[in-house]
Amino acid sequence: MRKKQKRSKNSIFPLPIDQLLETIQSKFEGNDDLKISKHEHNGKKLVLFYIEYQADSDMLQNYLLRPILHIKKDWTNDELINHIPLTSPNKETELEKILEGLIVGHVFIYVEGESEAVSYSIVKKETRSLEKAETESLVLGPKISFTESLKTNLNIIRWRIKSTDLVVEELKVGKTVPAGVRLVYMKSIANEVDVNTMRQRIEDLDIDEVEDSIVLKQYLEDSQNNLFPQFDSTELPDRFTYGLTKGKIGVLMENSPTGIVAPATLFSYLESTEDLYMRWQAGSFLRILRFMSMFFSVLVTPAYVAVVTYQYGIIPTQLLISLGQSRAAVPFPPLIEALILEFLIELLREAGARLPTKVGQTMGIVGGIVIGQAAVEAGLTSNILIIVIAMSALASFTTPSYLLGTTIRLIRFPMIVLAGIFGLYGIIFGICFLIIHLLNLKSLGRPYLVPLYPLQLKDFNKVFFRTPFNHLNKRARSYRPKDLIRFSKQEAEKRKDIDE
Amino acid sequence: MNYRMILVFILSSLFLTSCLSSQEIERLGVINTRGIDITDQGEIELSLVIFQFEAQSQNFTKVVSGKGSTIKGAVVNAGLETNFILAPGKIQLDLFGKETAEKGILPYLDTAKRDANIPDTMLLAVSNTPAKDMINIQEQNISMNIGQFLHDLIQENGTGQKFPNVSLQDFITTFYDDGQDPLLPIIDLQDNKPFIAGIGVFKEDKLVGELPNGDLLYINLMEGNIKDRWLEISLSMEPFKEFLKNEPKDEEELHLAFNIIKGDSKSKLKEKKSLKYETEVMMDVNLFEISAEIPLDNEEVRKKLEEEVNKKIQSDYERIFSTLQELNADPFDYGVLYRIKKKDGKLTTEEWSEIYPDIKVDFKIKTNIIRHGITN
Repeated sequence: MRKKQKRSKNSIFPLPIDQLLETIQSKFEGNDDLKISKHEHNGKKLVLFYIEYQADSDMLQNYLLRPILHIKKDWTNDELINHIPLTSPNKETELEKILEGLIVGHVFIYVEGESEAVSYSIVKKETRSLEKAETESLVLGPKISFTESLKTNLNIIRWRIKSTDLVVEELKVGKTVPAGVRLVYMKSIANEVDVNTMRQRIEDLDIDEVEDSIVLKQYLEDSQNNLFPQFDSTELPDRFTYGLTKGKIGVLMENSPTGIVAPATLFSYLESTEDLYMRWQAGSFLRILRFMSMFFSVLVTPAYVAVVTYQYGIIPTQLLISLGQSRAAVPFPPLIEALILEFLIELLREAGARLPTKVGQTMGIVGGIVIGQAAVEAGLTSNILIIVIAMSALASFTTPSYLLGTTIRLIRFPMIVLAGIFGLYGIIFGICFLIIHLLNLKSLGRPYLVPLYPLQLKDFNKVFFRTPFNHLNKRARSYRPKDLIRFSKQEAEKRKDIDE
Repeated sequence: MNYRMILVFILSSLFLTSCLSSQEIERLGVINTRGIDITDQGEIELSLVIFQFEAQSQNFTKVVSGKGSTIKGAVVNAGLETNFILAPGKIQLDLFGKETAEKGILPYLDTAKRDANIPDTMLLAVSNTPAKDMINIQEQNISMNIGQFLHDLIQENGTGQKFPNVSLQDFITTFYDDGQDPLLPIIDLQDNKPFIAGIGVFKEDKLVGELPNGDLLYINLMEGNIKDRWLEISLSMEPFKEFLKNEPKDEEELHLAFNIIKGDSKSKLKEKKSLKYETEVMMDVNLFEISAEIPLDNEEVRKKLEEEVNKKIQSDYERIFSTLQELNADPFDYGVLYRIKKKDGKLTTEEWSEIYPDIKVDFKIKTNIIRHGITN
C-alpha cells in the first residue's frame, strides 16, 4: 500500500534523472567534488550522488551500493529502504534541502519516477581527539577540554549530567554560512525568562556568518561598547556544567571548542571550579586572593605613579629613602617610566603567546631577566618599579577567565595616565568611573555586580568565599534559578546510625 | 543626548580644574626635621634635616639652614642652599631650642596648623642646647640620619615607654582645651650624643619647668592605660628587717623591679568647694627582681610589700604634683574635671591659674602583686 503523501509545493520530483543531475550540477558549477554514479536494473534507472570527502567511502561501498545492487526485485524507494542496513533514511523533495544535505555529507539516491529522493547520512568528519585544557588549566579536577566537534562536546556534557532534565535545543545562525548552535540548560533549574531571552537573541541574529562561539558571544552580549565580557566562556566541561547546575544557560556552537555560559557577573569570572575541589578553607583563600589580585593588578602601578609624582607625603619614611634613591638616576618622569615598562611587559606577553611553546619560555627568561636587569642598570627605570610592574603582571595572570584577564590588562593604561596627570585624585576618579560603568552593565538583562549590588548577603558564601558543602544547600539567588533548593539541610546534617 | 551632557559635565569638571603641580620625589628635598631657634636679632633661624636623592651619591641626608621673620620665609631662605625644592610633607619632628620654648612655641606652630601639607602626626620636642647645635651633630656620633634618630628616640625610647602627647595635633588640642597643659620631651647632648634628659612642663605654650625622666612612667599612668612596662622602685629596708631569712645585711634599701601587666588611673573631684580631688592609681604587677631575699610566699610579707610600694609611689606622686603646682602647670587635667562640675561649664585659663595652686589631691595607689616568681 502506498502512502498518499502530501506533495510539497516546492517539490521538484518526479523528473528524469538527466534533468535532475543537470539542475544539481548547475548549482555546483565550478566544483569538481560532486560525485555521481548511475545504475540500471530491470529497466529502472537509479542515481546516487554525494560529495566525495564528506561521505565515508567505505560505508558507501559496503552498506549502500552493495545492497542496492543485490536487490532482485524492481527498484522502488520502499524496496531500497528495506534492503539498506542503515538507520534513519530521509526522504527529500526540495532542491534546497538536497543541496544542504549534500554539503554536510548525506548521500542521495533517486530512483527515476519516484516522487522523493532517499538520503542517508554517512558523514565522515575529521576531529582532533580530546586533550588537556590549555588556556584554563587546573591543578585539581577534570583535565578534559572541549574540542571543535559539537557532537563530542554534547557527548561529554551528557555524560557529566546524566539527567533528562538537561535540554539541548537545536538552533541555527548564519545566512551564507549556517552553523549549528545548541542551547543547553537544566529544565527544572534554569530561569525560563533567561532561556527565552537567550533563545530569542540567537534566533533574532540576522548575520551572514559567525566565525566562532566567542564571536557569537559578542553578538549575543547585552552591550558591545564596553571592556568587560558579559558572558562567561570556557573550554572546561566541568566549568560549563557547573554553571548549568547553578541555573545558568549554556550555548555551544559547531566547530568551536568554547562554551558560553550566561548570565555572568564580574565575580563569576574570578570563580574557578578548582575552589570546589580544594578544601573549603583553601578554596576561600584562593578566591579571596584572586579578588585582591584583580584590584592589585589594576591599582598598584597607578598608585606608584601617583605617589611618586604628587603625594610623596603618604610614603613611609624608610620606603621614601629607597624609592628616592632608585628614582634619582631615572631621566623620565614617573608616568613615562611606568608606561615604558608596562609596554615592555605587554610586548613580552604578546610575544610569548605567539611563539611556539619552547621558544616562548626562553623568550620569557630573556625578556624578563635580561631586559629588566639591563633597563635598571642603564638607568631607564627604577628597580622598585620593575618589582611593582612584575607583581601587577603576575596578579593579572591569576584571573581564571582569560577574557577578564585581558580586560584588566587594558584598564591599567588609562588608570596610569590618570594617575600621572591627576595623582591619587585621578585614581579615585578612575575607580569611580569604573564602578559606575560596572553598575550600568547587564548580563542577559541581569545586574553585573550582583550580589554586591543589588545586595544579596546570602550569596556571599557562594561568590566571595566558600563554606563547607553542608551549608551550601541553596543555589545562588543572584542568578535567579527556578529552583533554589539543592538539598534539605536537615537531611544532610542528620546523624545516620549504622544500625538503622 | 543625556549621556553626552553628563560626559561633557564630568570631563569639564575634571579638565578645567587645572593640573596639580607635580612633586616628583627625585626633585624634592624632603624635610625630615626642623630645628627652630631665635637669634639675638629676633629672627627665626631654621635648621633643616632634608632627604635629597642624587644619582651619583649614596648620601641622601643634608642639613641646610635659613633665617627669616616667618617660618615660611626661613624655609625659602634655606632653599637657597640647595638645588632641590624643599617639601614639608614628611616633617617628622619639630625641635625647639630651650630659649625659644621658654618664650612660647605657638607662633612657630601656626604655619603647621594652617598648611595642610604638613603632617599633623609630626612630633614636637625641646632641645636643651640650641636646636641648631643638636641638628648639626649629624653623622659624627650616630650612624643614622639625626632627624630619624631623634624621632625614633622620642617615639620609642629604649624602655619602650612612649612619651605622652607629643604630636602636633595633640599639643594643639591640649593647648586650646581649657584646664590642661601639655608636656614635651627635652633632649640634651651628652658626649655629643642625644638622649632624653627630662620632661618639659608647659604652661600654655611656654616651657616653665622640667621633671626628671624617671617620672615618665608615673605620667604615663596618669594619661591612661598602660601595659607591659617596667617599674623600678627602691624601698627602705626597715619594715622588712624582721622577715629577712638569712643574716641581716647592712643594706639600707630594698630594690625591686616590677613588670606592670595592667595599669590605670582615675581622677575625680571629691568636693568642689574645698577643691578636694582624689586620684586612684591601680596596677597589676609581676615581681621580676628583688635585691634581698624575703619570704614572699608569706601572705603577710606580700601585704607588707604592697603597702610599702603604695606608700613609695604615693610620695612620688605627691612630689611630682607639688612641683607642678609650683610651676602652675596642669598636665593631669584637673582643670577639666573642675570645668565639668562648674555650672556654666566655662573656665578661663586665668581663672584656673588662680585656683590651681590651692587644690588638694589625694593619691590612692593600689598595687596588686600577682606573681612573684616560680623558682625559689
